[in-house]
Amino acid sequence: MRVEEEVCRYRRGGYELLASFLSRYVGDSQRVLRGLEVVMVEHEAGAELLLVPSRVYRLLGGLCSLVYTAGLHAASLRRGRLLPTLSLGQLVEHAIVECYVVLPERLVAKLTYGRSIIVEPRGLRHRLRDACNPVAVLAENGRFVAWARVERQADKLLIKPLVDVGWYLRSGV
Amino acid sequence: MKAMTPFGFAMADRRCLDEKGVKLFSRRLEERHYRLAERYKVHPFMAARYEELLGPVGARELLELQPGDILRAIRVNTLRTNVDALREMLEEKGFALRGYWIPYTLIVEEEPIPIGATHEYMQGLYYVQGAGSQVPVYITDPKPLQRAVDLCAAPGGKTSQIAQHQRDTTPIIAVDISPRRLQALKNNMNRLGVRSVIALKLDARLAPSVLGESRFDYVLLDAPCTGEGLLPLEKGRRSERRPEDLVDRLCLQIELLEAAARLAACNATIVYTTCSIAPEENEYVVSRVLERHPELEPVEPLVKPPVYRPGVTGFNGVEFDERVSRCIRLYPHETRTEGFTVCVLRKRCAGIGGEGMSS
Repeated sequence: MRVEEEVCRYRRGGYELLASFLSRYVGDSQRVLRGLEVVMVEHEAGAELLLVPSRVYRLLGGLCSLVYTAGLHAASLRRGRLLPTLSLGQLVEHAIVECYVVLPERLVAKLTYGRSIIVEPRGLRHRLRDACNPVAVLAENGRFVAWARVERQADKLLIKPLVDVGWYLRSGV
Repeated sequence: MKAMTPFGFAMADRRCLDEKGVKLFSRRLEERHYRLAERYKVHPFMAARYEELLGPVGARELLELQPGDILRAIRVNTLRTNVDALREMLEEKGFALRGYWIPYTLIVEEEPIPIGATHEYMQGLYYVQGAGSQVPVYITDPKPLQRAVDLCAAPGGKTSQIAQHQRDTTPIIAVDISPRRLQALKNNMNRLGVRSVIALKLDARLAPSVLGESRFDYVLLDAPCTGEGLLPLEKGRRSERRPEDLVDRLCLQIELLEAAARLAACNATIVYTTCSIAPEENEYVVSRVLERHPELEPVEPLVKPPVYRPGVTGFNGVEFDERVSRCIRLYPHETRTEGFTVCVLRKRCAGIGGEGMSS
């Protein structure tokens, strides 16, 4: 590739941060990241963490001044906080064993309009601890639906979506 | 009888018209063309073209098509699910679906809610993509480890289809010039879980000078076009289309195909496709590039659709390279899909082939 490699914004970085975040949800975060490189792209407002296969990473250096995006956008970093994206949830959905709640279709429908919901935890499949923030919301088909903040309200749960798959429609892009 | 030439067309870009091109765009119009144009609200020049291309009956059949006559299709994202599982999920929700000759395609016959608004769609289990639009990649079947580049790639429908064929194992370079459309590509790749794409913001005509020559085994060019194949789907398009639209994109189409040829390695497959049934945007463009690139050879695709027409070897008295008969044409009134033309070219090289893309 002929583009100069200097000052490439696409560099390895953020692996530990991402692995540590994922360890709350999956048994072995290194296993779900196997074969993938974590690439940190810094910009004025913070940074993006991208997940790319090693073969893709090896090409990035030579192309970086032209790269619009690569691989999966896994998370954003804002003021030191890691904000997970939808594609990260989708990537690990089959491996999630902690910090999750499974919602039935009708509640998923509300959540994917970006609306908060109040539910009775009885009858819902979930594994929640105080340290779970955000919580991974899954549909009954096992697919990822949202990252959400969950608050206990008396004997109910308030689930506020932070980012949900309905965004793909609402964004209009 | 009136003669119309491109020189009468306002704003037409004639830089890339050779002698044959001038003839191609000069057409004698007769009374029946005006009658056809009046009846179907199209430009008389376009009416005359449809009649020559499809015959009087075919032209009427094409122009009478309504959006509901075209198959509604989805492409199952086999990177995240399989056809049977998705079909079961959607049928449980009241969708009526049937299979298609492309194994990962489902035809939507009844939809209780828009097919692009289900949770399964949001979860990236499928992509809403016309059945015609799925043909170019399916019939050329890019294999894992083939180094692929997709020119004018956004919003990434065909890019993600290539990734599906390659099981997301091999880097795909997706090139597009528009940041807005690249954002759509980024969202689509994230939704579909495609990891192997590098999207470049770049004028695809400059791609060989940036990426290097003879670097790719599979080059897809879904060229900007008049969208004449979408006539049945977008009623406005019918009356808005003017002859000069066909002329205006000619330079770009030729230059893009030239760039695709330069990017291709020895024995590479180059797929030139448009969502247009216009010979001016397809066989003529390919013939022009073949004149300057003897190393390119039009070839039959690996798989052929059950219903298609071969490429046309002449139009309006102009003869094209006869090898363009190996192109594939999909006419909406025959296939019930969007109209598409696909020309597959192989790059032959004397002696030892070009270098591989570094990876």
